[in-house]
Amino acid sequence: MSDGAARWHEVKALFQAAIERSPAERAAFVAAAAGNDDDLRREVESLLAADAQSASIDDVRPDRSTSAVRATLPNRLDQQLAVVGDRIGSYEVLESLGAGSMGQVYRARDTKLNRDVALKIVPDVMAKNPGHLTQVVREGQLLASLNHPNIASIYGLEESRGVQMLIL
Amino acid sequence: MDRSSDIAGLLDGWRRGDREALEQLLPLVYSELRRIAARQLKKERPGHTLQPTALVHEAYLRLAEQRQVDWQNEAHFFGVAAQVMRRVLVDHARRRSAAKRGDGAELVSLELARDVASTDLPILAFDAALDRLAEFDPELAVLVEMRAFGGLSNEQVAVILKTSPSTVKRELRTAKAWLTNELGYGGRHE
Repeated sequence: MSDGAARWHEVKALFQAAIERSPAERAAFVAAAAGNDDDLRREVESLLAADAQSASIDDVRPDRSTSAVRATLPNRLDQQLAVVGDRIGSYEVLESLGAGSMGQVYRARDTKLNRDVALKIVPDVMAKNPGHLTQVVREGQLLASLNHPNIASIYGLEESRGVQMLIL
Repeated sequence: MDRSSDIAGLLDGWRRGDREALEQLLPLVYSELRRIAARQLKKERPGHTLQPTALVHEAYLRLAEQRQVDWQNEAHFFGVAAQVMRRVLVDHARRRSAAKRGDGAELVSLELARDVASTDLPILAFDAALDRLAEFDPELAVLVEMRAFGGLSNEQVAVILKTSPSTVKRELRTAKAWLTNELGYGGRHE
């Protein structure tokens, strides 16, 4: 086994042990297990962050109220990217909640999973810039963490007909 | 012996545990998949999203015809088909790229990729990431390949890799996290 492979198996083993714990306990668990090995800790933390972001639909998720998301948004609507009744992918737009710095937010119905979500639609010009998208993802995580500090935050980043959306 | 009964015979041999039958089956599966894929790809518009899982299932239905294949062999078939499908799609994307008819960033709809990026992924980037993963964790790369390109369930993958579905699930979750970062969908990437 190469050095790289041996290292990866350490990272993987610690990551897999960490996800057996509750999200709140993970950081302390990883820090304790990694000891002085800062690289190991960082690599596992980075995987855990990605894991929280890409949590799949079969994971348990909180029933999140869109009003909490609404409360954190500036009350500003300078550009309509969707209107009520629009269907974007499997999402049906129900109402406009407001506009953030990087896009518009709507309450929408996920018709596949029959649940309400918040949709953040990113203007095309911003979606073309990876830096903007990264910021949108961060903003989504921040918004969600305000409500549920210990729980995986965003549902996903989706693209439909050239429209980039963050599902909250 | 015509081609389809040839394949059926090999599937039977394989079912009885004949390893040589598998070796002979592979190029036949490859040509069958290529044929089906070529027909699909001809109709393809630029920016069209490919559905490899649907192609694999179509190939399976053609190959197995009406014959009963037990589900363990069915799982093995999809394991083989997944490798072939990956090859077919990557070759196609490379040819398009070389012919400058596309930008090499064709999107492919992969079950796993949707979980990683919640969107369709450029096939060549995904393929290259899988190659890098295989350098230090070949078993994990194979597992991802089967789930992403072959449409196998966790249970089917577990049968092929002789492990439990819960292990497959845990490995897959690890792979998703790694791919999310590797492909630049992770929040830590600038």
